[in-house]
Order: sequence, then C-alpha cells, then structure tokens
Amino acid sequence: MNKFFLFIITVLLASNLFSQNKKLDSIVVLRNLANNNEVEVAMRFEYARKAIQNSLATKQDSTILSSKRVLSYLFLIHGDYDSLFKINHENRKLATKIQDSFALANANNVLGLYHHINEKHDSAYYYYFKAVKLFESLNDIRNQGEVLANMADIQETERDYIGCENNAIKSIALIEQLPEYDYNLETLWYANNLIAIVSAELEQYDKALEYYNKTLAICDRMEDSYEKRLFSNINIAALYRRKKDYITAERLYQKLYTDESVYAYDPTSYSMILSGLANAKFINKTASNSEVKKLFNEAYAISKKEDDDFGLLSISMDVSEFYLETKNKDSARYYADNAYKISKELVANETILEALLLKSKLETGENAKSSLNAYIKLSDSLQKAERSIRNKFARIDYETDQIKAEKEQVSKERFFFLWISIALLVTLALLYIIFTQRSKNKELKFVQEQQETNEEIYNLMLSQQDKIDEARSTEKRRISEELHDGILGRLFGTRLSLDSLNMSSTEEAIKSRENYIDELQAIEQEIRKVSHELNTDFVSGSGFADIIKSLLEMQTRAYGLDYKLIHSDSIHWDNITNKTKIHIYRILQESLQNIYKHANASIVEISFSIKNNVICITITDDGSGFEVSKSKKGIGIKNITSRVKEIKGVLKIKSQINKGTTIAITIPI
Amino acid sequence: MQEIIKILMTDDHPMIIEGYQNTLLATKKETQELQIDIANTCDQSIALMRKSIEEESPYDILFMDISLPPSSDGTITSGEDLSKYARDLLPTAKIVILTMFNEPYRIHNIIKEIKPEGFVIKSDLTSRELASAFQAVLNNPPFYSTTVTKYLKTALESEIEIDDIDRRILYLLSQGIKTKSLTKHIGISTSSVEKRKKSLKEVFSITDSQDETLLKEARNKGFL
Repeated sequence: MNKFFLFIITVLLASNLFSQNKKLDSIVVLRNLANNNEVEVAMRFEYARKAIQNSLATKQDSTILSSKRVLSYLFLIHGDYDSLFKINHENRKLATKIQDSFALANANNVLGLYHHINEKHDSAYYYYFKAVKLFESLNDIRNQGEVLANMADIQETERDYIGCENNAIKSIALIEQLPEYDYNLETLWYANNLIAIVSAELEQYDKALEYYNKTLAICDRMEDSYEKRLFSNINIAALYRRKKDYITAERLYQKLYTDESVYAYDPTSYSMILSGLANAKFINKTASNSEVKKLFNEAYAISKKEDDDFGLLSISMDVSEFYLETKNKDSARYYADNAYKISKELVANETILEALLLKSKLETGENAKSSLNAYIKLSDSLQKAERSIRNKFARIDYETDQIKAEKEQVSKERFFFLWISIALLVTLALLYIIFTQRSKNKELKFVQEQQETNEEIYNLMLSQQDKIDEARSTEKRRISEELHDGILGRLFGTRLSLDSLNMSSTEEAIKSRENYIDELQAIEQEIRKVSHELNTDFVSGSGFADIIKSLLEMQTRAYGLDYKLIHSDSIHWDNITNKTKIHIYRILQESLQNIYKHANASIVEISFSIKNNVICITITDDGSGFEVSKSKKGIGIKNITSRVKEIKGVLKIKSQINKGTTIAITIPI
Repeated sequence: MQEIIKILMTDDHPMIIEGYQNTLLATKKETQELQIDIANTCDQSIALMRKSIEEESPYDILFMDISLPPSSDGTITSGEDLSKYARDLLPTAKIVILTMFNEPYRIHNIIKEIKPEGFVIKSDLTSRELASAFQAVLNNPPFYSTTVTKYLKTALESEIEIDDIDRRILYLLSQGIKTKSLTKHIGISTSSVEKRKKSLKEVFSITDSQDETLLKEARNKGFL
C-alpha cells in the first residue's frame, strides 16, 4: 500500500517537474531566438515578448527578469529608447525585489545611457553612479570601466574637468587590466581622449599632447584602428592650432589633406581638415587669400552637403574670422550670424560665446554693445551653470554615499533593536520560567507537607494497631497461662488425689472424694470463665475511634474548649480505607483549628453516625458564627472542601451569627 | 526400724501438693515414715531448705515444680533455678522434677542442667506411677516418666546432633518469635542466626526456605 502511494507521489512530482522544465525550456528557446542576430528583427521582438509572457506564467521573478532583459537589449540595439526607459524601470524594481545586483546594475546602466542620449546629464550621471557602485561590488571590471568612461564624458560636456579626469583615470586603470580586444581598447581610447580634451581646455597643452599620443599608441594595439587614428590625428592637429603653433598645425593638416582615403571614409572629417588647413595656411601666409577662400568654400560645401552642423559651425567661425582679417566685413558678419544661429540651435554654448565675441568685433555702435552684453551675460550664466552642475555631480557622489551610510546606520539600528528584542524576550522567558518554577516548588512543598501529615496520621493509626495487637497477644498469653498453670494444675492435683483415693472405700475416703468432685465443679466454672473471656473481643474495631478521641482531647485541651464526642459503635472503621480515615482526621483537625481561631466558642460537639452505608459527621460549635454566603472562603474551609471532594463526600455548612456553626459531612463508603 | 524420710514439696498449687501427699501416704512402705514439708513459693522453699540444714536434718527428697512465681529478690525465677540452688545447698538430696512442660526442648534442658534423680511429666502421672517413682528414686535412681524416656530414646537414636543454641532457636521460632527479634533473646548477631538457621535446614533436610517446614520437621524428629 505504502509503496503504491510512494509510486504515485514520485510520478506526480516527476510530471510536475517535467512540465515546469518544459516551460522553462520553451522560455530559454524563445530567448535564444530573440538574441539570434540571424533572425528577422520583428520576429526577435515577437520571441522576446513571448518569452516574457511565458515567464509571467511561471511567476518566478528571476525568470521574468531574465526575459525582460532580453527585450531591453533589443530595444537598446534598435534605438527604441522610450520603451527601453520603461522596461528598465520595471527591471530595476524586479532586480531590487529579488536582490539580483547584476541585473540591477545593468538596469541602472541602461537608464543612465538613456538619459545620456537624451542629454539629461544629471539623471544620467545619477544612474551611472549607481551602476558603477554595483558593478564594483560585483567585481565586474569591464562594465565598471565603461560606465566610468561614460561618466567622464558627461563631465567633460558639462565642463566638470577635474571630475572628468578623475573618472577617466579610474576607467583607464580598470580597462588596462582587461584583454586587448578592440572593444576594450576603444573604451581606453575614449578615456584617454577625454583626458586630452580636458587638458586642452585647461590649456595644459603638453599633457593634452601626451594623452593624444597615448590614443595613437592605443590605435597601434587595435586591429581596426583607421577611424580612431584619423580622429587622433585631427585632434592633434587641432591642438597645435589651438596652441597657436600654426606651422606644425599646417604640416599635420597638410599630411592629412594629402591622404586621399579620408574623404571617402568620412567627408565631415575631411571638411574639418580642409578648414583647419585653410586657417593655418592663411595665418602662416603660405597661400594666397583666394586659395584659402577656395579651401574654406570646399569645406563649407562638404559640411553643408553632409548636413554636419558641427562642421558648419566651426567652419563658419573660421571663415568669418578670415573675412574679418581680410576686411570683408559683410561676409564676416554673414558667417558670424550663421555660426551664432547654428550654435544656438545646437546649444553649443562655447561657440555661442565665440560667435557673440566675433559679432561684437564686426558690428558698431549699439549692435556691438548689445552683442558684448549678451556675451558677458551668457558667459556669467554659463559659469554659474558650470559651477552648479559640478556641485550637482559632487552632490550625487556625496548623497549616494550618504544614503549608503544612512542605510548602514539603519541596518545597524535594526541589528541593535533585534538584539535588544532578543535580550528582552530571553529575559521575559527566564522570568516566566522562574515564576512557574517557583509556584511549582510551592505546590510541591505543599503536597509534600500534606504527604507528611498524612503519613503521620497513618503512622498513628499503625501504632494504634500495634498496640491493639500487643494487647491481644498479652491477653492470649494470659489466658494460656491461666489454662496451663491454673486450671491444668488444679485438674492434675484433683486427678492425682482421686486416683490415690480410688482404692480405699473408707468413710473418710468417700468424704474426701466428694471434696474433689466439688473441686472439679469449681474447675468447670473456671473453664467457663476463660472461655467467655476468649469469646469477647475486648479490642475489636476501637482503633480509629480512639485516635479521634485522643485528637479531640489533645486539641480541645490546647484550645481551652470543652468537647462532646458521640460515636456510633456500628461504624466498622476497620473496613474503611486509610485514605478516608486520614482525610476525616485532617478535616477534624482543620475544623477545630477554625473554631479556635474564628468562632470564639466554648464547646464543640462532634458526632459520628452511619446510615445506609453513609458516614455522617457533624461538628457543631456554640461560637460567634458567620454569614456563609457573604464571607470569603479562608484556607481552612478550602482545605476541608477539597478533602471532602477527594473522598467523594458532601459538605454542608450552616451558620448563624452568635448562634454557632454546624459543619455536616456525609461520606459514602 | 522405722526409716524416716524427709521430703520437701515445692509447688504453687496446694491441690497438687495435696494430691502428692495423698498418693505417697497411701502407697508408702510400712517401714517408711514420711516427714513432708510444703512450700508454695520459692522463698518458702529456700527458707525450709536452710532450716533443715540448721537443724542438721537435711531433706532426702525434693519434689520440684518448674513453673513457679519468682522469688521476692528476683534471683530465682523457676523450678530450674531453685533445683540448681538446692543442688548446691543440699548435695545429698535427691531431686524429683514434676512438671506440666512436655516439650523436648524443655526436657532436654532440664536433664542437662539439673540431672534430676526423678523426672516426671505431670500428664504421665498416675498415683501408681508416682508411688513407683518415689521408691525408684529412693533406691534405684534415676526414674523418668514415659514421655521423658521416649524423648531420651528418640534423641539417642537420632543421628541429628544440634547444640543448645540451635535448640533454643528452634524453640523460640516455635513460640512465634520472629527471626529479626531472635538476637534479643539469644545474644548473637542476625547474620549468625541466619547461618544457624541455614545449617539447621540442611541438618533437617529441608528444601524450601520456610520456617514452618523446619519447625514441622524438628517436631517430627522430637526436637520440639
């Protein structure tokens, strides 16, 4: 039977597990399909959504989270940023719930990325910071390094140069530990590039150059380095231009200009090179103005064609300056206005400032003044904004640390509270144990005392029995002796005398014989007497009654009371159990004590009688009495009640004020 | 020539002494003249014995009962003690023990302690037997009555030999004394009482450990 059940249970369990596994299998398959690059994009989304649906059916948060992450990845690579934002908020909640810190870090990272793309820099920084802390705790070096590089990028954009450099250096230190894949080297390049840019902004040109060279060195380590090398070179050329080392700048731009592959690879970069070259040539006077103008025009045309606003902006500024120098104010103003317009659209504050400054130089009177004022106003507000954003980043760092510290504090407090609660509970438990133990001890002691007194009474009864036995055997011995010494001796003497008188038949002898016959009659009487004595059991059954009597005598003498005992001889105490007798004895004792303590009586009457196998005991006193219904029960009455109950008796108490009390107890045998 | 025989009868029952007197006077030989003194207590008996020495006419025969009330000074508690006392005081006197006791133990003890010239169990006694006992003691002691003779015969024939303490133990047990209380009566330790009981059981070939069986067997073999 048992085996059968076991079998059924096993089958049930197995099928359950099997179905669960099947579900999981299908989810995993769906996920894999969603992750497969070769599958059509729309289908991949479909698979991912299905995986989530199936996961929801399992109600396992970890499964749901994994499936959602697949969808999140799809949103990310296909640029559906709004959906990305939504799903990653959900993922964050799930990850927090099941304490999956890796998923939580990823969700934070993606949210940071989302805000980064939408140029919500402070929010982006906030999520990045959280992601970094989590990746750090997970010891995930690659992600940590990447996020740090992204943070540095934000800080660069927001002109928090010190913060940017710090994070970039941290990122570099981490990424350097990783294997040299292009993927990692690209991050490394970005970080170094950021430091170079920041250094240039801080006018530390040597340091900037050093880091640009580092980016070039990184390019040497990459398999596919064309783009990065191009950017590095353009950046270096721009740096020299900024350093006002126009000779070197021209040389570098020239070198880039002659590389024909650049235009094909990236026209915007090419236009930047053209513009840089034109600017250098103009300043170095290595080309005629018309040649320079031609280069500028070519660059502007390319940027316009490529719709590259940044290119147009920087070229417009350069061209405007060129026309200013060549005293062609109208063209200069046109390009300056153009630059101002584009920079306003792009919110490229730096360039707005530059354009404003340029405009103020080109214009006269009120217009120049207003441009200058706008420049000063913007510059001030920019400085303030810079300061505030820098503070904001610092605050995010600080606040996150503070929250952490607060959390620790809270957990510490919780820990403390837990210990106090435990200590309190233990103390309470101990107190409870002590109290119960004490009351138990008390009870035990009481029971022991009870036992002792009961034993005492029992012994008393036993000794009474011994006394009776002794008396019996003494009596037996007395009768035996009486028979042996008295009657037997006399009988023997008489027989002997009669024997000796047997032979003679003299008058004297006949008379003598008559005497001996009388003697025989006397012996008869004697025997009858002894026989009678034997017949009366002089001690039968008087044991317990005697004990009671001596108790009454003793107690009443001690209490100064008179007593009257009425005892019916028809009660055979021998047939009554010792338990009952002991209880009766104790009840009497207790009652006498009560009478002595409370009743103020002068005489007690105790009567024992038996009717229909029920022993009736009444204890009557002539004391002050009490109101039975009103008075609170004392220990004495309680004890009597419990004892009567113990022997299945019935207790009745009648009392009248100043007329005494009667306790009536009936005990069935 | 009249032969004068001085007799002291000690018994606490006047009826019995009367019986003895009647019998002896009725059955004495013509040549014999009996001078009988009577004592109902130990004290009287001792006083009479002393007096007879003072008068330089010691008793020839002492009739002694065993169960007697003790002397006033408490030194003599029974006929046995009195007989021993008489042996010292009147070495020539012949002692006849007349007793109700017929237990072998008592008989054994009396023969051993007193070696009486006559030993009669009262229940054996008829006037004829008393007369022949009297003559036998005078001329050809000892005289033992039927019960005593029977006992002696059994004791002689029996292969069982036990000492006095063993006998006493058996006797006390038969009186209903508990083994525990035996030490009080004998003055040996409980363990040696137990040891003796064990060897008694072996001697009487008792297999079970019950005292009753031992007593029964001892009674059968005439030790009780």
